Amino acid sequence: MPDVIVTHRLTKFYSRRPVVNALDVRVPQGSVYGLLGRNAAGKSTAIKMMLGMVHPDYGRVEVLGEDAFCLRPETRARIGYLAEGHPLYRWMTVGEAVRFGRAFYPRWNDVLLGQILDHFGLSRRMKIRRLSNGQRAQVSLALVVAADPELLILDDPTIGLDTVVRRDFLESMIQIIQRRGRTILFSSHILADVERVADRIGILVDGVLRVDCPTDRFRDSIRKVVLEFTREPPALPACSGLVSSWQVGRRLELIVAGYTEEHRRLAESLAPRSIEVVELSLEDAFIDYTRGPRRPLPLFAEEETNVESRAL
Amino acid sequence: MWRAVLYKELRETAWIAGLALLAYLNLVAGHMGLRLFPWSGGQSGEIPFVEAAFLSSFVFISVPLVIALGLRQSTAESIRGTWLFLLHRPAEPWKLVGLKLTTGTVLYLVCAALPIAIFAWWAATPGTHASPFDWSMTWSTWSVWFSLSAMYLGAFLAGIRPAHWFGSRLLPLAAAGLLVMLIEGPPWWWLLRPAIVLLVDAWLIACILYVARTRDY
Repeated sequence: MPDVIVTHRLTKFYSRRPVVNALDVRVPQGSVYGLLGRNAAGKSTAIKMMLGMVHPDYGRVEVLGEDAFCLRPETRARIGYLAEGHPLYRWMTVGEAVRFGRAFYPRWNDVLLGQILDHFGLSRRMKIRRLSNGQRAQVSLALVVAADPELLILDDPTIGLDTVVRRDFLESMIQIIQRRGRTILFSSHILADVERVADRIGILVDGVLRVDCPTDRFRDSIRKVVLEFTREPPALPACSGLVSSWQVGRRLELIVAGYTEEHRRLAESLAPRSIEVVELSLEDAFIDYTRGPRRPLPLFAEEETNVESRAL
Repeated sequence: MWRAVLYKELRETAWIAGLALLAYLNLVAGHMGLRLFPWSGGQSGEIPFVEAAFLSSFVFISVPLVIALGLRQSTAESIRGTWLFLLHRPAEPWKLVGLKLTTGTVLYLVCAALPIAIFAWWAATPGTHASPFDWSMTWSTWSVWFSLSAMYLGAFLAGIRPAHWFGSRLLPLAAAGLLVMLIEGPPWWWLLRPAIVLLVDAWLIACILYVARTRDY
């Protein structure tokens, strides 16, 4: 399968801070690629660079075989883009937004659009400014899909939607857009969304792509190793695949990517009282992978003080 | 495709043009000795296009009109986040921005030409006022009318150009305003005025298209 999106060392700085750092991504044709990351991890900037809306400080992007900054209108017509926040002209009615969108696309599918609007229960006479966030997301999705694009780029399509609307929206999205040969790249910070849709994921941590693999492989490769000690845990030697470690009293929790026998031997060499290897859900794996070092919150310390003072 | 963008731009700026037209109408009616609104006073008795009253009132309405038009067309897209939506349409980005500029410029020129044309037509009609009239007397007003197109483009550039500070962001608008004052100031280069305005307009359009192509959205 050829790659529809290829980025090479893509880098963008904002105020001297790299928001996207040497990003190398390949999105194969026909795949559903979930770009994950916490807020401000660089997902939106990376997507905007893929569409030529943000200029990189270094590196290059190719989309459908063309430089993203010189996309011909014909190529752009083959790409559907749902920007973060579902920007639409709020003074328009749904019908006016449809007429505006249709004017640009030669392959506009009015039948499909009508079906999608019916499915969502949206009338063409509704004013966009009176729609809820969820309905606006539905209109945006309908407009993107009606253009019959080969590649769909969705920037956090479920942002701002409540759990029920999000679930409905995602299920509709899967039903509507997962057609043969269509490639989808979508970003999210909600793991459950990605797990349901993506067959490959990339995880951005502080602008750096830390993971790029099939969804199942990521879930299977991350393990939490819990070591219980009878004494103060010893200092941890450096080892490959160690994502993070956290000490809670005499307990040491390690998050390891690609857990192997070598990791087990290393854990045993520390002479703990017990070793427990826990399989993680995708959500737990993502949280532990992207959380970074954990620090006790001052609030807890204050509560402890209060408890002590009450006891006195 | 172009009709869709044109319709959108006209719909978004119609209220600004409508307000300006009302103000222009009130201005012209006042100078023709008519009272359009109870609070507006008739100012007949002046020599049309010779005394500065009409021109200064015209500038007083036109400057807010061009600034509002330019900023509305550029900043509103940034505030609503719709640049991403608009520029992802399958069309050359410079054509989309160019169409915005064309709509704004033509809307201003038409709106602002109406009061001058009506007042000049009234002044040219015998028996309406006790002073001589020649069409060449309208020249200075038409010159200001045309020069203010540069201020519209300056406002658009101020709106589309990213800047860290509000003050520096308004620099293109301030520069365009200063240029208009310089162009309209010295009387001895009146023949060159249209050519200078055209040059300034062309330079501003080039700047706008350059910024639109190179800025981050």
